[in-house]
Amino acid sequence: MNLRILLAANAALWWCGDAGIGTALADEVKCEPQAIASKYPGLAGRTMKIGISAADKPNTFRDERDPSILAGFDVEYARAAFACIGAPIEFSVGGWSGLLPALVAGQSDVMWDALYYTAERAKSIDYVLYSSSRSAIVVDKGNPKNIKGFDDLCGLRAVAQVGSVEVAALQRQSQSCTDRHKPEIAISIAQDRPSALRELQNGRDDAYLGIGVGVTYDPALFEIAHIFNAGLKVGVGVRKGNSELERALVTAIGILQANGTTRKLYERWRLNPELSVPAEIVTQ
Amino acid sequence: MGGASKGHNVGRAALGCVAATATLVLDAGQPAWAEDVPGGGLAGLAHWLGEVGHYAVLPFLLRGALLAIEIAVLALSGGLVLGLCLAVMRLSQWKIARGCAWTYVWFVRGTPLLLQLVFLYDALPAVGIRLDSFTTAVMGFALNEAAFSAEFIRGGLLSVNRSQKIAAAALGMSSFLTLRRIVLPQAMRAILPAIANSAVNMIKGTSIASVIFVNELTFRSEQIVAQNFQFFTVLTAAGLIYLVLTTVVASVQSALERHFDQDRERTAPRRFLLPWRRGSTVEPPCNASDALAPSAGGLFEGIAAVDVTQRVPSDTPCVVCSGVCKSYGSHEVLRGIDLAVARGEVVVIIGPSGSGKSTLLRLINHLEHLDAGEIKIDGAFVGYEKAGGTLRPRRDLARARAEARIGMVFQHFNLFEHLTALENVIEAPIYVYGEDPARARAGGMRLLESVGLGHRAHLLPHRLSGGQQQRVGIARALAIAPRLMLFDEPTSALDPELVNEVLGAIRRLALSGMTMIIVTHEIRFARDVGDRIVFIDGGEIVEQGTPSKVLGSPDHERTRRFLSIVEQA
Repeated sequence: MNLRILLAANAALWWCGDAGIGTALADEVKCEPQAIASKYPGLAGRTMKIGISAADKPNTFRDERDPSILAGFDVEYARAAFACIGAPIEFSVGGWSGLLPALVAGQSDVMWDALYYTAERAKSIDYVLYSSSRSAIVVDKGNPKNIKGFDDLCGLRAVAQVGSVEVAALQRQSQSCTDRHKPEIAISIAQDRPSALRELQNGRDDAYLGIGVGVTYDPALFEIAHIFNAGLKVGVGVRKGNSELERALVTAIGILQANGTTRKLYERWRLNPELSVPAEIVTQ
Repeated sequence: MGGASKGHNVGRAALGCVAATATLVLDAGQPAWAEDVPGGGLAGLAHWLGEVGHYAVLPFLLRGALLAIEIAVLALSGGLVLGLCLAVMRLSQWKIARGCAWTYVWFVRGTPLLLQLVFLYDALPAVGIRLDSFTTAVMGFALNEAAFSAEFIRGGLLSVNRSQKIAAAALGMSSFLTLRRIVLPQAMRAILPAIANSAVNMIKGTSIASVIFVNELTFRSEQIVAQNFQFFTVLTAAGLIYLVLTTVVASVQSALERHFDQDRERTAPRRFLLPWRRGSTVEPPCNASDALAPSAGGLFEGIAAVDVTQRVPSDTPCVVCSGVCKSYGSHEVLRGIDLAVARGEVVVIIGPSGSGKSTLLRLINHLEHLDAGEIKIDGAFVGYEKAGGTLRPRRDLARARAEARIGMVFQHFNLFEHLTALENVIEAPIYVYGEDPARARAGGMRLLESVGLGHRAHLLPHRLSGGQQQRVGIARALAIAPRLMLFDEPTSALDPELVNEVLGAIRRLALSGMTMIIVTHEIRFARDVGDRIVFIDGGEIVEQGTPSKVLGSPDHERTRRFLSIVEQA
């Protein structure tokens, strides 16, 4: 059965809001966690380890009152998806740079932490896409350097997180500046978002390039100057060849997207539900 | 008076620190502080400190601290044990052991710890070894620490005076026993500060393991900061927690250093249960002065009478040297020595310095290897076996020396510096010959009393005069019930006024019937005590005979020349 046709049908049902249409198809829209042993025998009886950084608000982070509780858009999305599959889960919290190697080595089963799709990463892992995102140029409140777009960055100082797509964008832009005989961009690489934003706060950098989600940034201190990379795909990282898990995830996410669970998640975390992308397995 | 002004200075410094910190915090121009401190002024500071306090006792962070401690304790223990093995391997006589250890240290010390951790965690699964985060972290830190501790332990072992190992070898102690009981305890003074450094570094350094999913204190702090962006507040709290942990390490270090401090007076019985400290009972101090006990001769008779080789026929000479040759590099020290010593005989060897006298003694109890010739003690080789016509040193040399029971007294005493006089005396009987500790202690006290040092039994060697140390050295050699005693210039390092007390002890030992070979410059003593005088010059025996013959009317010109020089001094 072609998964895409099935999912398109589910989406149609969702918009109709009428679960009664096509009872045969409606049966597919329900989660069957108790049937995991028959549907996904390789996943039954195991606890799934989910690699996250717990340092990426609003996607994965620690609750402010009780830090032993994990919270975030991706954390709840993962809990819902695996509840639908019927597999117990355990979050493995580690430094960002170690999450992907751990996935490849089999030390975790999935990586679920606002992981952007890039062709480069897809060489080592497979994705189950579920959302989209965009990048932004973030500046101090009041935009003192009057940055409106990429070209305004020439000759300024900018920071981005290690290994992010925004670092690549900065490097390309800096090259473009020098090609047009403008001064290059002084690029700093930060370990994590808090240290990058500290650079902005204490004036060491003029701009931060990072996730383009408004709720991430304290409006009293920062503002978004420019949005780019609209349409960046976000997916769950799965080890290459783990097709059973990929199938389970794409089905479960499809169901959750169809029955409105994910829409509620977006709204709860003050994200735009338009960002949702139909569940899809991508292997390259 | 000095104490009061010191207190004032400390107070002033503390006040200065507080003032500086307050200025920093209250300076409204610092945006980072302002972020964390709502509203300025003292109220803001108090609020901020309250926040810091809140995080400093947060169970989430304390659990991270506990994890850091667990990893650090396990990794440090494992790392130190492995490091000790590597250090010993690097000091081994076998090239392959040295090579392996050096390669390990070179590689592990030279590659980043982060790389090693990620390799263990993410690369090993490819060959089927999948470890969890905690195990990986402990292993990775331990293996890494081993490489570094191997070096500072090796440094500590090398810093122990060679003479300690020579004395231990003469008593028949194996290399492992010497390491465990003599060298390591003395090396601890040099090693302990480095160990404490490692402990502190490891507790703080566990943060690097966040990349392999270890959620310790620093990483947990970073996660909280990712949520509330209050970097300074949270990290100050974490810093306080680390400070408490490292202070504990520092106190343990102080306690251990006091324990191993040789300069400190030991007044109370030692209660530590470390292997080098057995609890000792404090004996009531003797009222006896330093005078030699009158009944001492009887004790020495008892020792000499212990014939451990009753199987040997009584007409076998005790020592037989035939054609003994020894060279150091190209320098020939001994060129064919033939010497026989009968049981109960006292042979005194005299000669110019560099003539090979001390070398001969060290060859007799196999502290050095023979180049050619044979030496037999009571008809048997000491640590040699005949293999196709030539003598080859045995593998279990220490055991052979122990069985041979040859006591040696050194020019520079070579007492074990970390043990009291009594402990020096009973060390070999207990640990080499397996004697019952209580009996050994009683026997040791008797020996010390017989050399007139019963009331100094619980002093460390550095608290004794040279003459007293040498007498302890004699008692220590006697404690193993030797069949033969070797004296290597026993009074050469002593002040003249102390020489007599040692010579007196040796004289009484000779009178009691012990077989002795004495190398000395004391001609009068030689004449008094020796049954036979042997004059060695240029690596050969020039002349030997009764004292009256050799010292009174020597045959050879060289003997006459030597005697005239020595007797003028």
